[in-house]
Amino acid sequence: MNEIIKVSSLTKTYKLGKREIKAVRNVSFVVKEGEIFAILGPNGAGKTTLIKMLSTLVLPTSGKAFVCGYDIVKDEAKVRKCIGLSTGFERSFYYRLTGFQNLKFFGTLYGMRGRSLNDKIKELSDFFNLNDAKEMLYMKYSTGMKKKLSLARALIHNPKILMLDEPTSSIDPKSAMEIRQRIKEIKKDKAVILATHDLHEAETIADRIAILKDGRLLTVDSPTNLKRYLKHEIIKIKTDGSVSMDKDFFLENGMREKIKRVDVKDETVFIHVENTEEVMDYVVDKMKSMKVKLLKINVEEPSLEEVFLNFMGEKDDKLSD
Amino acid sequence: MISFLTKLWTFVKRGFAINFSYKVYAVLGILGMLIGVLRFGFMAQFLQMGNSFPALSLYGGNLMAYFITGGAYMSYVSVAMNSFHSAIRSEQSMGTLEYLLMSDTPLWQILTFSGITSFLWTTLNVGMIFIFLVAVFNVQMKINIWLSLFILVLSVICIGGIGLTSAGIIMVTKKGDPVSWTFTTLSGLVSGVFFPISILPIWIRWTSYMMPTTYAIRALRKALLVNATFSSVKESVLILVLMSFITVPAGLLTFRWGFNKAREKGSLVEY
Ligand SMILES: Nc1ncnc2c1ncn2[C@@H]1O[C@H](COP(=O)(O)OP(=O)(O)OP(=O)(O)O)[C@@H](O)[C@H]1O
Ligand SMILES: [Mg+2]
Repeated sequence: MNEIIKVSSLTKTYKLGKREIKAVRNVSFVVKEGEIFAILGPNGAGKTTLIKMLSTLVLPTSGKAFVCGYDIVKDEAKVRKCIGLSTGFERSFYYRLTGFQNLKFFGTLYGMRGRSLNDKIKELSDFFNLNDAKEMLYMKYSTGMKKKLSLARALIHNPKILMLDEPTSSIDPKSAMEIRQRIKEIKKDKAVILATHDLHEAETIADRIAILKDGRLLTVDSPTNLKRYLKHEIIKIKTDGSVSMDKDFFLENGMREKIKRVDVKDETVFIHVENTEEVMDYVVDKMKSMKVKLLKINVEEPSLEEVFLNFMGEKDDKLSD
Repeated sequence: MISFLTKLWTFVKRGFAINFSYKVYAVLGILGMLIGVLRFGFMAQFLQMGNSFPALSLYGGNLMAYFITGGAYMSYVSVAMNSFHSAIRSEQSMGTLEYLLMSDTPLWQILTFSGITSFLWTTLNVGMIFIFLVAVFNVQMKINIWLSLFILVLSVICIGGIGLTSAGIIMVTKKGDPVSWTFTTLSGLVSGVFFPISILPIWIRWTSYMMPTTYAIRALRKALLVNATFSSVKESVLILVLMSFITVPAGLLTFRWGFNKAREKGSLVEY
């Protein structure tokens, strides 16, 4: 697969009077054709700044990036042609025009006309299920419709890359799911870059996830690999509660190496391990010897949330429950 | 009653405190008023000269025609000065500026389009008022229509360069800028729009000769009122062309600078 975006040591420092805000620090990564690349990070991580630099709307302080093979500083016009942008910002259409008129206006600026423009608008409003809203003034749109219209606009000139900043923020779960589904369908012949702080979103649609914190890129990997990275599973054992249990109870006989941590919460014991197979026998025997009645055993993989928190350096207090 | 007065006083205090916190605005506002009064002063002086206005003989001698053309021309000065930055501001406030930029249309084209849109809109308005006033006051005009249009467009381009400079500055400061204010105020006062520049004291008359509006209104009046030929206004036209060679490139450069500065600060969408 071709590398459609190449970012190397990209840095953005904002100056506010004497203060310097390092919004993006020395970030490098590559995005390939046909993939959904999520930039995941908490508020203020630098996601929007990164997307705007790649869209030529913010100038980088240092470093380089190539989008569709073009330098984002020297070839800004060619870069813009190659991408479709949709930011989370709701106020980005003409309020007193209908959705259709808005799309037509922006389509015309992209040099489209007549039949081909109308066909494209028809195709997009079918795709995003916006047909009923086409003749409605934009100011009457619901938030979900606004986001969909914004995606439709981003796609109107059939760009190779779609850049989405929080495409589902402040949207109900059902509409969010619909939008994610559409994004997945779009990616077939495009690359999608998607900034989000929603782990679930990143996990469900991204092929690869970049974790950004304080402007630094902590890691880039597939959701599966990211979870594997933690080498961490949780054995969750539900008992009838008749025997009270102590955390230290499991941490003897050289098991301290294999069992990372035990939490007891009401009738349930959470045993954090690197590899379930190595300790399962021991744990069950131990419980049996105590005459504990076992009701249910689950083995859970870490959620992306845990991976995320781990990277955010908060893993210790938040891992269990 | 007491409480009414106390509340009134708090309101006045708050209003003054807020107004004075915009220092530049406060100063410019007061100066603007002063200059407005000054303008009426000069106008009065001009009118007191009696009922034969020797200074108007060049333009057919009709006072009404003189004022109407001056007023109409000032609308175009305002278009040329303000349409770029107000276009940018309105796209910023609607949140559409970034998407206009992302479209395959260069910024200068977007600005030109909105400039031409306001030009046409103003022409529609001014045209109607013009026809109305000319009919009501029975003003005699001998119009050289193509020459008038040519001078109007040329002067709008020349002043548009200054408007572009002002838009470039506003992209960075996000507030009213001194260029636009100074130019608009001065052009109303010293370029012979509402009274001949000969009324002005000698020591400020040099500013008249620096203003493109002085040459534009002079030539435009001749073309509108006494059916002047090109050769009788060619000096003013030449000066306007020369001034445009300075204002337009300077405007483009300043605007480019402001645009890049805004992208550096990440403040393109702020207003
Ligand atoms: N134009 C600007 N001028 C100065 N600082 C800015 C500017 N834009 C962003 N910042 C700062 O840069 C940092 C990163 O901001 P950015 O908007 O890129 O983060 P984000 O990951 O998109 O956050 P969110 O999830 O809240 O949208 C923040 O500290 C922010 O305050
Ligand atoms: Mg953001």
